[in-house]
Amino acid sequence: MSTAKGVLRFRIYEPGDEARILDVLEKCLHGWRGRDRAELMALWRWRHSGRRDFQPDDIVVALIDDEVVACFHGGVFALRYDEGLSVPVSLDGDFAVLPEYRRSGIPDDAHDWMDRTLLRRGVALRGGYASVELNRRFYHKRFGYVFIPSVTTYYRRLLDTEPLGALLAAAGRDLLRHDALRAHLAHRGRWIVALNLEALPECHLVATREGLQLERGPAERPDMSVRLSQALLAASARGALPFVLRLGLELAWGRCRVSGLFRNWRTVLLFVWSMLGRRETGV
Amino acid sequence: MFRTTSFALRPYRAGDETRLIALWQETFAGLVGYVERSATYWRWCILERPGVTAEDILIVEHRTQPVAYGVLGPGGQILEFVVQRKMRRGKRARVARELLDALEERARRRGHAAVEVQLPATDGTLARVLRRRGYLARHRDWLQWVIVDLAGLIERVLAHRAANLPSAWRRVFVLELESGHYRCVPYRCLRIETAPVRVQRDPSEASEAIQVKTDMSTLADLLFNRLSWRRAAAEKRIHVWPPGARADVRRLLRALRVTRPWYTPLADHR
Repeated sequence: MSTAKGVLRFRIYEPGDEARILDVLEKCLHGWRGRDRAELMALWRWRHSGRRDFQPDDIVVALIDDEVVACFHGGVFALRYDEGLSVPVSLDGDFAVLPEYRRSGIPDDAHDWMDRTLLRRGVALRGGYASVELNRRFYHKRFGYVFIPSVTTYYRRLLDTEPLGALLAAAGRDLLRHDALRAHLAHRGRWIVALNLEALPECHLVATREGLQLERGPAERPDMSVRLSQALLAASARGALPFVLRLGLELAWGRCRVSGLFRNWRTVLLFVWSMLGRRETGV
Repeated sequence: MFRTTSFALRPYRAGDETRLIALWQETFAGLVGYVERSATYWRWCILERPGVTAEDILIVEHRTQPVAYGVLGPGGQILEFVVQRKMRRGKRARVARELLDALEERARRRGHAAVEVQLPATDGTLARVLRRRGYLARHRDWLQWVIVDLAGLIERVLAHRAANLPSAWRRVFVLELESGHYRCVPYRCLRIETAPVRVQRDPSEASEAIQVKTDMSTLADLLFNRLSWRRAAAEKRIHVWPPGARADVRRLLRALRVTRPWYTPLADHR
């Protein structure tokens, strides 16, 4: 097949392709960047060529003038479709096209190429990892991919304040668009809240007109102190009613405690007012 | 730690996989959508995964029998979390809490900032345990599907479920397929016989058969429970000839669709 950049051809994996495939993955996929090469090679081998039932057909590379410009990985597994019934499916991943060769239809052609191979192998379904947004924007319209309604629930619990810090910094950028709050914090200087979050290291929140920052360790002279459970943080992401109900329970059980609220009523009120005016973002 | 001596927590030992797989199969027997656990798959998926060691696989035993296990993967992902369903609810919740304590402690020691796990929403006991511990829960779809070999799928599913169909129900259907959102369809026409089950790709003759005209996207939506028959018919996304055979087409689709809750654990995410 001829393209503006040269003659494009597809072929299945051949031993010795590893380094060139890794180059493409490192250049294209976030998860493959900035990691030790030996570690990446071990990961790639485990996922693909090191699997006992691996077949060279599982990997397709796109070449232009004998240079690997894109790679597409799959793997055939037995998926449980019903009690006592498994169907062969291909679970795809690690799709990458070098930036300079994008918008030339390589993924479409590679998808068709792999479809023909999978059909020959008797594979019934093909699964791929994508966000709902990416599916709607691209995969559904282009190839027909759909999500099967599932009962899969994803649960997450914090063990460290680091992810919370990033979320608070993002929320701060949003909240401080509110002029009254920004002016109040400019007048007040630093507003420090000591945070005692269940099962997390001690930390404190520093609010200034520039933004919100979560710092590790105890606060020296906090304006306010808050003790919260992780269940309350999780309830805050489920909406206002679950949050209020949980807050009532936590206060009654003594698992949630706030001190210095009356001394800081004005700042707290401005934060709440600012929060009401923004879109909800869960912790 | 466990208050009674009949429960014990220990890391994985070589040879445990047979009993762990049996525990998985017993616990998730009512669910579909995950990769079948065989010794080969489990060893590859769990034991050989880079970043997973035997100490990351924690097993709760009750009188030397495993009743629960969890696997901590790289990045704080709990790849598999299994608690036997046969136990009383209170005891089951306690076992789950102890196992979570141990997995979270291990994740902390390995420097992970968070732990995450995927469990079926149908397991109310575990959902309550996780919510009370402060786990943030949200429904998550990340594995999307497309049909590659429709004829093969129909053949397998219909043959498997043939015993559930009335023995006198002998019908011949001819499925005429448009592509819908699919880029290409390997065959435009399928002839399906119900007893004995036989699926013919691009048949030469279609006489005396129930004609069904639809497209691949609609068919996938119907098989995967994303679309009801009533809505598909109302939106004219499926046409049946003769109209009197609609009940037969509905029965065929019911026999083909996903009938059990669909669940994908984090372990199946490579």
